[in-house]
Amino acid sequence: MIPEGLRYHTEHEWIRQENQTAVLGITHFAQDALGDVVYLELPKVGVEVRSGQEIGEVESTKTTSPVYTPVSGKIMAVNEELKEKPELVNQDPYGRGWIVKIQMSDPSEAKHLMDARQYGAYLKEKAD
Amino acid sequence: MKRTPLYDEHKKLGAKIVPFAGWEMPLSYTGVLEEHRATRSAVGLFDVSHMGRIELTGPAAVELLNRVATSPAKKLAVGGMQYALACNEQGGVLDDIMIYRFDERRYFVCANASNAEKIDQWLRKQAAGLSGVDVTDRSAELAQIAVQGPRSRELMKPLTAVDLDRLKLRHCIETKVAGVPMLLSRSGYTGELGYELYLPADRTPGVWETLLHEGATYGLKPCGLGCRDTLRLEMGYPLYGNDMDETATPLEASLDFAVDLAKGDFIGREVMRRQKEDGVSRKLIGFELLRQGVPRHGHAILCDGKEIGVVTSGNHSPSLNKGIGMGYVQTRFAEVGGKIQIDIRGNAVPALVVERPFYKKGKA
Repeated sequence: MIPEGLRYHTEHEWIRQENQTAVLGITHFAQDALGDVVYLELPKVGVEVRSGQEIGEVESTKTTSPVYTPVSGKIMAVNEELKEKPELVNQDPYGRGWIVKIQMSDPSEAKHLMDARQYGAYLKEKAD
Repeated sequence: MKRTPLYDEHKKLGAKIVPFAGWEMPLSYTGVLEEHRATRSAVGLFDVSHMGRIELTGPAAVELLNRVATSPAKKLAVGGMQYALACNEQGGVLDDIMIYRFDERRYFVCANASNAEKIDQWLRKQAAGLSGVDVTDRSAELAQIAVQGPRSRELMKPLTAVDLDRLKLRHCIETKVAGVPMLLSRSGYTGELGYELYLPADRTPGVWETLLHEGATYGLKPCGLGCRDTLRLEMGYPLYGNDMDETATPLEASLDFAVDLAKGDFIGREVMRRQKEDGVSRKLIGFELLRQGVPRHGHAILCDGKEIGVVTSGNHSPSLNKGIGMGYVQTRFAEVGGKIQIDIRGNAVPALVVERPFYKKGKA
């Protein structure tokens, strides 16, 4: 359930590093806890963000939940497909349900994030 | 935390269980949207056993109800139902209730889970001065199931001897369903054709399983509190604790239809009579967003940048695919068609005051 090769944030976002770019989404655990996603408020392309900052909101039929970025940089792209199909966040959280792409200003920030094994242990710890 | 007689069934079905008004209740089984759509297009099966069920018996039962409720209880015929508010002396809403009359001298009050004890005590207190009425809390011995959706009648027909084609909206009858004696009513909280079953707690899992099994052909889905909320919101039904409470009167909550000032005295009447003459200073409205977004409880309602009220219920409407909500505004802003804005985390999102129900295709 937790893909290898991604880095995980304590607030249940994942990033996939592609050179200087980080693709960011929310984890399976996060989408499952939120329930059906019905709308996302996304940042504007070109905006500078800092690690730890709230960059958007996920609205589900149950609640509103902030999306944080664990890395700093500039928003290069937002997933336009989510405007019509927010349910992709539920159906394919690590794939077509990606949320934004960030051009990282400090790729070393990603090193401080959890890997799949650590994130799995983190979830288990939270559940106990 | 209390559990309904169907708790084990919910666990078996893999429901997400959440605390609600002191109960461990299913939030959803397969997803709020899927369950919402099943109820609008086929059948939804709901455990609503957390609600309060109070029986009133005796010759003075009708006197008690007429005094406690805003509706004309004296006009209620055997087999009928009335929606009403129970208010305090200041006109504040203690609860919204459904009154059933299933016999000459037997009435039944269905109260919200969060208010079940309060209403039971209130009825006892008000009964103290009357002779000839017994108040019995039957919440524990009975359970309550709602079968809701356009195909609910097809599902229910073979399970009961009652001619369901002749059971009218807001009517009830004592009968058997799936071999179990119960009170059956045509009613619900979804806006769809539907039924509510009041049945012995120990027989409830069996009936639930029968409905699940027989319902499969009709597209039945077990449904949790999540879609119960989105379904009622689309109908513009106020939810106690969100859209009204003891600080609001029925007239402020735009529930005038349930208040009969002409029926004689009842608790809170004087306040409501004065409000009817002088008007209210704030009113519950329905609104829809004109742009994407989801209004939520607690968001400020604005007009030209000034705060004029607050959102009390809001969500994304699955059927209309837009943000809808209810809230209180100063009365002069309550006109249908009025342009307002909802303050969603600092963004003033344009919205329109609209009539309720928001969703008009329900076939209750």
